Amino acid sequence: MSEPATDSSRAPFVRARSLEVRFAARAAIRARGRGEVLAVDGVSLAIERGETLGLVGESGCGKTTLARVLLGLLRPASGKVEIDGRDIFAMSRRELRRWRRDLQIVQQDPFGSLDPRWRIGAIVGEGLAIHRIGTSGERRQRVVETLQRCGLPAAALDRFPHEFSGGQRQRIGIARALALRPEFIIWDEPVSALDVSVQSQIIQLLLELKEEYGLTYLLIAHDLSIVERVCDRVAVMYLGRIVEAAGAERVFRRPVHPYTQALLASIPAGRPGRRRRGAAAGDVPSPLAPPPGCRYHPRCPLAMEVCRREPPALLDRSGHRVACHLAAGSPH
Amino acid sequence: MSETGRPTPALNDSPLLRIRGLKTHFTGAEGTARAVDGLDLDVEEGKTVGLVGESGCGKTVAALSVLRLVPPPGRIAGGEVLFAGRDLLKLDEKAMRAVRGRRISMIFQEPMTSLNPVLTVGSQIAEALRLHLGLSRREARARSIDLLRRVRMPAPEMRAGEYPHQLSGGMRQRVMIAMALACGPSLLIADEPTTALDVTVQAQIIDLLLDLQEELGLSILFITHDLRLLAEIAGEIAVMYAARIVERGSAAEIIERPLHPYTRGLLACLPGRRGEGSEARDEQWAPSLAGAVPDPLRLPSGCRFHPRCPLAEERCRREDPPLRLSSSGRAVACHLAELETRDERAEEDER
Repeated sequence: MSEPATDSSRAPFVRARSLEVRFAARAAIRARGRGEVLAVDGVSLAIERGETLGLVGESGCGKTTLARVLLGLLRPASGKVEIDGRDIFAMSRRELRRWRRDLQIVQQDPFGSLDPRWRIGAIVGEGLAIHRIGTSGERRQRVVETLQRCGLPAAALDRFPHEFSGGQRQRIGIARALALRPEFIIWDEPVSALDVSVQSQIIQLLLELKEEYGLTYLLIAHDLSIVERVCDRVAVMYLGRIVEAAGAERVFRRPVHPYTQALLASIPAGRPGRRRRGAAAGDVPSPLAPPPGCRYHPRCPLAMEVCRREPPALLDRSGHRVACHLAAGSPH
Repeated sequence: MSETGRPTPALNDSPLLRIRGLKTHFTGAEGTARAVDGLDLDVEEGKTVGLVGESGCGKTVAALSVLRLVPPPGRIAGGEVLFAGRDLLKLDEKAMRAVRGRRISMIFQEPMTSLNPVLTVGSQIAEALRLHLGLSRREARARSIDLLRRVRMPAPEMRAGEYPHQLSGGMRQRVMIAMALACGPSLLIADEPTTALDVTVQAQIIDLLLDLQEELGLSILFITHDLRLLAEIAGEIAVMYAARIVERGSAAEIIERPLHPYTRGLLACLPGRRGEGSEARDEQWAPSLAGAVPDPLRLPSGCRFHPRCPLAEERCRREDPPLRLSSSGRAVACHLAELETRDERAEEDER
């Protein structure tokens, strides 16, 4: 996540440069003088081939919007997304289509993301059909193989989503993503709707698939204990901006940003005894009216005068990026 | 919070809530689903008891049975629910209405579905106060703002006049808690109250519940699938599997010395923290609970956990293990668990 990285000899696999995404507010809200939401505000990140980057933050901080930009589904107001050094928004339709085969997403809600009227075979094989890969017999074979690899019986092919449990539906969603043999998978809260026992099964599958197919992952999650176990590097987002990013070990062992510290303090330790306090107070402010200066300052126990006025820059110290006035003066 | 509606203190040796042999069945075209089937559970006055288990094991139906709010075609098929010494299952509907909300309140996972979208949150809290306590409109309004302040709602006067959709998820859950506490209940049933919330907000809501419990001497039955959370907040944990309690004990005992293979499986599913134990992260966190909760229409023979149990023997397939109690109050329903010896060893450790 070295930015700027003009000197790099080799481009990272996926790179986002200074992305901005704006959404126009609805008329009723515009009438109150608030024109737009800056959902992603100057986000830069890089993902190397074969690594897993964790993207964490509370609901509404722009994680999923960022994922949609990386997928090429949403055009940013400014900034670039490069895959192997090539700007996906400058690609021809045909090139973009080719790229989309390599990039898949597994969504959070295994109930909402599968069409209830389609059979599992059609759901998992849709991408293969769209990209006209193989004959229909070959496609069917690929679908069966993929389903089995994801822990589902071949007989699932002719059944409907409602016949499956939440965990099995998530496996169907994974099979759908995997059927095209992509290089990069975005996991958008893949287990937050599932029971703990099923969560651990799905995470295990995620780790196995990465090994077997040499995949690169972006894992979006608000459960930091899962991110800690699975990711090589972690980026923490708050109200559209990255506030801290570094190797997972660094972020979890020595978090620098007060927001990251608060997120970590919120994880139940799982040990008997009086719980530890010190989690973040208050709610995430409305992105329609983000606070001036550092966006975290209204919730920050350490906020100083400068935090209320000036947005802190995201400074890089030997690969550990932090956007905080307090951290700026001292070594991380 | 007034003292109105608080029950007379229970007899010394009987807990506030005592559930014995509770059975709640759903009968439909396919047969009878035994959602709760012989549940025993106690909640002592002023204590927090955690009820843990996977989805579909009957936790919510058990809670709804206590309030006699099981939706049809479900019906309570047997057992006792003793609350402050009275069997709630024997009360008439009018007496039961006086118990609900006033003496026992419940909060749910998704506050949006429990709040009326077309009424302001202040008026929804006030409604409970007028109905149960007979307050005037004006008194009820003042009290509802007090309650919102008590649950640490920012700007309570302003928020009372807002509609549910104008509030964040955390604020909505605060409103639900305010409503639940409106009539000074002695038991709060919290059914996954923080599962739908962000981690930071989750921590705030938990802290609030614990503070309120201390201030009001509330008893809490906390339902969740997150054992990590219960480790921190519950005095006692009851583990539910396939319609019954399979293990019960103090939170420390359950977390540190689980006896039932199901409890061990649930604990092993939790991701450990870095630097706490082995460094090998992928290897040590293998899924240890294969399979899924059985269909309540077709509960397995013998021990209901046997099809998923790595230790199952012939006897487990045939005989249903009873919930055995140790002298120290620990209980487990497993043929293979060594209840007393483990406990004796534990006592020696403490000495």
